[in-house]
Amino acid sequence: MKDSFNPSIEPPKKTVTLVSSDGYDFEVEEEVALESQVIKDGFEDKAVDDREYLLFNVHSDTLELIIKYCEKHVSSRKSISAAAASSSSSNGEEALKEWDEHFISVDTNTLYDILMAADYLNIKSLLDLAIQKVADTIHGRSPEQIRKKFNIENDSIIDPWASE
Amino acid sequence: DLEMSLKNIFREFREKKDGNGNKHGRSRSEITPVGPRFRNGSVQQSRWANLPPELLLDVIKRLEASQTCWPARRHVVACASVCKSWRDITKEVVKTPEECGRLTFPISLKQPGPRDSPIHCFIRRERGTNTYRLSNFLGTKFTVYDNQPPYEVDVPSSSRTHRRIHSKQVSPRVPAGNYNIGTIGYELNVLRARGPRRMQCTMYSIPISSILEGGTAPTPTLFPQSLEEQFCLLPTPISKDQHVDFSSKKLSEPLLPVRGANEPLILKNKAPRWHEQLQCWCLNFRGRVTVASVKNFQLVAAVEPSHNVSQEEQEKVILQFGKIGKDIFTMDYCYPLSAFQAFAICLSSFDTKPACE
Repeated sequence: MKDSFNPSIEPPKKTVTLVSSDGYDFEVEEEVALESQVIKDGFEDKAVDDREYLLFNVHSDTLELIIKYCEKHVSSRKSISAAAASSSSSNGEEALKEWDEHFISVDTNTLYDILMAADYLNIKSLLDLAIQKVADTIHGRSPEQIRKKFNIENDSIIDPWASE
Repeated sequence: DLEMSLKNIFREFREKKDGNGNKHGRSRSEITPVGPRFRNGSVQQSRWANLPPELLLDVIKRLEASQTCWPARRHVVACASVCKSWRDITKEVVKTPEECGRLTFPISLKQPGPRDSPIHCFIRRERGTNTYRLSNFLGTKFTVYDNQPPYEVDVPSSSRTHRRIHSKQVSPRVPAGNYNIGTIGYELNVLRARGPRRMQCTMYSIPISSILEGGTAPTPTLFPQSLEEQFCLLPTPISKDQHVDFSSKKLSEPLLPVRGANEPLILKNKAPRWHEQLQCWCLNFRGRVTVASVKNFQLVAAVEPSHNVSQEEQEKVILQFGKIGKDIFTMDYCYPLSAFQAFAICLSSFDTKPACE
C-alpha cells in the first residue's frame, strides 16, 4: 500500500511482520516492533515493504506473549504521558508495574522462553523483568529446591544441604 | 525424559493450532542468533543449567546485591551448589570479604576482612554445648591451630598427618588443627581487680607488613581438598566448622623466628582512656558493646618504630569483642584478620579462669 500524503485522511498504521521460528506471521504496529532494540537498529534503512523479520529463536507461543507485552507498554506509555500533559492524576506507572508482575508470573519453561526472547530481541525492560523474576524464584530455596524448580541435574558432588 | 515429552506435547499442540503459516516470496530480514549460545537440545542438562553466562551472571549479581547478611546470604551459596555452571558463575560474582565486606562462602571465614570498615558479627554462647577447651591449667595461654597451612607463610606443622578424615567423625576432643597459626597470651595480673585483661596475640600466619600500605595477608581461596567436599558444614556453629580448638598440649612455638617485614603480626590491647565523669578506664566501642564485662577488649597492632607503621594505623582497632547481653556478644574485625582468627581470639576470652580476671 502506498503512503498517502493527504492530511485529511489518517494514514494507515504502519505495520511490521514478525515471523516466528515455527513459521507463523504476526503483523504488528511499527511502534510495537520497535520496542525491540534489534529491530530498531537499522530499521530506517529498510524499505517499507521489506519490514519483515524472521525470528529464528522465538516460537509463536512466546512471540505472542512478547507482542502482548510490547503492545501494553506502548499503550501505557502513551496514556501516562497524556495524563502528564493534562496534569491529571494517573496511577499508570503503578498499574503497569502490577500488570508486569502478573505477566511474568509464569512457569519456569515459559519464563525461560521469555527471558531468551527478550535477550535475543533486546527488549531491555522485559529482559530486566524476566531476570528479576528468576532471581526472585531462586530466593528462599535450597539447592535441591532450585534444581527441582528449574529442572536442573546435579552434575556436581557438592550439596551443602543434602542432609536437610 | 520429562522435558522431552513435554516438548513433544507442545509441538503437537502447535501443529493443531490455527494460524496463517503462509510463506511468501518476499525477502525477509533474519535476526540470526549470535554465537554458539543457542545449542538447541544438544545437551542433556536442563536449559536453565545452560543459560547464557551473561544472563545467569545478571541473575546472581542481583541476588548477591540484595542479600547482604547471613542467613539471607545462604541463597547466594545455594546458587553455587545447584550445578557446575551455576557454581562457576556464582564464584565469579562473589568477592572476598576484603573486597566486598561480606561473608559468603565458608572460605570467607578464613579470608582477611575489609581494610576500612570492620565486619560486624554476633557470637551467641550456648552454655550447654561449649566444646572449646583450654590450654594450660591457669588458662592464660592459648594456641590456635588450623587444619590448613596458611598460604605463603611457612609455618611448621605440629602433627604427623595432614590428611583429615570427614570432620563430622572427628571428636571435638581431638586437637583438630595441625598448623599453629597463633598464640594468645593473657597477662597474669592478680592485683588488678577490674578492667580489661591484658592480652597479646601473636599471629604466625600474618606478617606485620600486612598492615603497611600495600601489604597483604594470606588469602586462601580453597579449603584443602578433603574439606572442599564438606561445604555442608556452613550454617552449623562456627566453632565446629572451623575447628577452632585449643590444645591442651604444651604450646608449640613456631620453629622459624622471622625478622623484618615477615615478622608475625602481634596484637595487643588498646589502651583505655580515663573517663573523668565516670571515674573509670573506658574504651570507645562505638555503640557495639553495651554491657561492661571483663571479657570486652579491643586489639591494635603492637609495633616498634622500626616497622614504620603510621600513628593512625597503630590506633586502628583490628579486633573488638564485647558483651551486649546474656550470652550474646559482638565481634568486629577487619584486615588483616579473618573471621576464623578473630573468633579464635574471642573464644579465648570466654574462659573465666580466675587467673585472667
